[in-house]
Formats: sequence, C-alpha cells, structure tokens
Amino acid sequence: MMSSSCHPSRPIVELAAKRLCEEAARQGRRRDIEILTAFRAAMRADRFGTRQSLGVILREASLVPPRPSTVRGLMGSWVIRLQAKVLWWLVRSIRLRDRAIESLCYGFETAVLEQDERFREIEIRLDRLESSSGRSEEPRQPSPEGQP
Amino acid sequence: MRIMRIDQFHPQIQTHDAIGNEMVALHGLFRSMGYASKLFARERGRFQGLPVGSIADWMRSEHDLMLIHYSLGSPEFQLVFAARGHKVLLYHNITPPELLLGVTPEIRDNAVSGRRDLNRCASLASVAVCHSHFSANDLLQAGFHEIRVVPYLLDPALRKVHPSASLLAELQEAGWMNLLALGRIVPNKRIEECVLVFDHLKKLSRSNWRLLLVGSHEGSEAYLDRLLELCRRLELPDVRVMGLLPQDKLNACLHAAEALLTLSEHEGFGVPALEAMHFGIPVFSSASGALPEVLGSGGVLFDDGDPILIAQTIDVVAHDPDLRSLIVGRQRDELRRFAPAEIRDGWTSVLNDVRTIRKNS
Repeated sequence: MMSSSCHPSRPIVELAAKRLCEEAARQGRRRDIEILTAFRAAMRADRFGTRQSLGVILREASLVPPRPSTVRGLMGSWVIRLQAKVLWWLVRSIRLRDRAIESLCYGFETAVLEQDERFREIEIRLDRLESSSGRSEEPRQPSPEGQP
Repeated sequence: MRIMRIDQFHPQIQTHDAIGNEMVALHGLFRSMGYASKLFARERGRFQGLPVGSIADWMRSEHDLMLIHYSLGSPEFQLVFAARGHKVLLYHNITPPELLLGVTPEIRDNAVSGRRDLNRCASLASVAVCHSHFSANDLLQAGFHEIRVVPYLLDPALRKVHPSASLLAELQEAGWMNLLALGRIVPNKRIEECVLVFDHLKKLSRSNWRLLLVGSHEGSEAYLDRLLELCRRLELPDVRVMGLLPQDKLNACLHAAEALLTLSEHEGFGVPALEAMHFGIPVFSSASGALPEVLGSGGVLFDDGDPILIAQTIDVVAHDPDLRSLIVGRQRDELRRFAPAEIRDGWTSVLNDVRTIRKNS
C-alpha cells in the first residue's frame, strides 16, 4: 500500500499543516477523538443491528398508508384516518407495543454499551495486575468489540 | 477453441449502481469485440434498455463463457458454477463483516457468506479478475491461482449525460462551495469522519461550505440516523443527504463539487474517486484499500484521518488555483490507465488466457 508520506501530495499536506494554529488544532483533535470514540462505541454496541431492526419494525407497523396526491389518495387517507379514530383502542394498543419495543431496544443498547465499558475497564486492570506481577510478556490489546 | 459468446451474471442488477453500470459497459465492450453477450440476474427484467434474463433462462439456453460479478454471497452462484461452460469470476471485493456494524442482518449475512464462499469458487472459475491489486490479495488468500487485474470500466456514456440544470443552478449558487462525499452510506465509508472534516472546514475557511452526501442508505438507515444526530450535535445545517441519484443529478453534483472526500476504511476499488478524476475534481482520500492504487500520483492522500488537517488541506487547495490544477493535472495523467483501450487490452488478454486453459483442459 502506498503511504501518504511518499505520495506527491505530501508537500501540499505539509503546507496545510504549517498554516494550522497549533493550539486550536490540539484542542480540535482532542474533541474529535472524544466524538469518534463515543460514535464508534455506540456503533459497536449496535453490533446486533438493534437500531436497524427497530427502524424496520416501526416502519412496517406504520399506521399511515402512502398518500399519493390524487383524489383517490386523499379520499383513501381520509377514510383510513376515520377508521383509525373508530378503532381507537386497537390503534392505541399498537402504538403502546411500538413504544415498548423501542424502549426495550434502547435499554438493550445501553446495557451493551455499559457492558463494553466494563470489559475495557477489566482489561486495563488485568494488564496492570499482570505487569505488576511481571508475568505479562506483551501488553494486551483491547478487543475491538469490547469482548474479553 | 473459439469463444462465441460472453454472458454476465449478478444476482441483483441495480440502477445507479457501480456493478450494474459496469455490466452495461462491458456488454458494449464485448459486443464491439465481436462476441454475443447478454445480462443475467436472479429475475428477468430490463436494465438501462437492455434485456436481462433469469438464471433459469441462461441454463436452458446455449451458453459458452459466463462472467460472474461477485460482490456478495448468494445461492445462485452455486447454480451458475454447477452449469457447464467456462466461468470467469469478476471479484468486486466484499467489505469485511466486522466493519459492517449496525446494518441490516441481511447485508452482514451476505458479506459473511460472500467471503466464506469465495474459497469454494477458487476451484470452479477458470480465471479470476479484479480491479485492483488490493482485491487480488483477497483472491490469492482464497486460493485462486489464475488472477488478472483489469481496471474498472467506467461507461463513457454516463459521463456525457447532461447534468440536471435545476440542481446544478441550486448547487452553484454564488458564495457556496460544495464538498462531495460520494458512495453508499455504510459504516466502512467512515462518513462520521467526513462530517468532522466538514465541521472544521466550516470553522477555519473563509468560504461557505456545504457537504453533499450522495449515495444509497438502504439497509443502513440506523447509521444515517446516527450521522444526522452527529450533525445536529455539531450544529451543521449545511449537510445535505441527497440519497441515491439518477445520472443527471449525480453529474450535476460532480460538476458543482469543489472537492471529493473519501475516507473509507475498506475500498475494493473506489469508483467515486475515478468519477471525480474524470470530472476534474481534486480527490482527498484516506490511504486505505485500493484508493492509493486508483489515485496513483493524483489526489491528496492521508495516512491518519486527522479531520482538522484534512479540512485545512481542502481549504488551502480550494483557494489556490495553482495547487488545484497541479492535483487535477496529475489525476488527468493517471486516467490513462483507465482508458477504454487499456481496459479492452486487459480483457483481450483475459480471454486469451481462458482459451489457453480450455485447450489444456
């Protein structure tokens, strides 16, 4: 793989680097790392595709039909809204179920996120223990999915 | 023995998709070389004015050589490989499943089975073709012996499609500069880093920038939701999610873009970079996957995705016409490798190799 250090564009990147305000860049980098770490931790916590599945479930359970801007479409939409009002207890139970699934999914996601964080803490503690007892030959790399 | 016809197969031929577009371009190339050719997919239909047969049609009809476009796992591949006749596998690369977090299980499963089944295809295809040495490495690891690298054939007709006048006028509105991120909205494309680059660009540049996210987000809506959350958090109202665009609108975006930003973690080739090179847009890219290979001496490469440095570099180039023309000039030189004549020679050589293998077998 060609590295950027030997690419002809290197002087352009160096020129840009010189124009950066060092202090602002340092602060910006620190903030970027925080944002990216949180973003990727949330993505890893969603490794079971929970959010995606939730989106599919809620879309499938949508109570509003497609409403083309034709007379038939508008009439159809009016009839469906009227039916929804008549069947209020049924619509309410569907919405309650949707909300329950949604909160279960977010609860699950939060639990996975917390669990990943705990795994990382345990890994760090293990490393410290191993290095203090002199048994470790190589520092342990945290696993990408936060698994032990 | 002379090859009479070259058919092509991919389970799902989709509109505005790099594989579908290449199938049409190769169809034209094979016909211009004197071969009969037809497209085949899971289901019968039409694609860009061409008839598409079903795989059952192909198995019933007289067939000779099948070019199999391989980019995902699909049970139909077993049927095609089991049929008589020679097969050439065109590997478009498959994103490693561990990079596909938060997408639909179907997309992830297709990636898992695609990578797993690639090993089985090694003994069934006469020759394997791919578009980059980066992808050739995957094929080598999967056990393929006859591997050829032929660049992606970008259909010249698509570049000539007249850009949508209304969208072009909107994007070229005075006082605005457009940063384009082109490709599927999936986690391995690292769009979140593009958003961070854009955030810095807005802060440090004296120009008014807009980020255009062009590409399909089907199957990765959750990832798009997270990106939009990030944009809201960073207070970036000028991020426009354009979705999958028809060619006239895509060409309008390419005409109006000041720079193309691609920070993919894994890229089997990088068609958007090639498109940008054709349109004379400087490409700012991560040095990962096949992107350094595609860009050659062109574009600007970054080893470490430092968003603030990338933003500063984009701004420096955008306001320095000499630097811009230097980059675009190098990109234009690199385009020679992707000229239709070069690609035609590549495919002629592949077909000669298939003939030799046929004779020997």
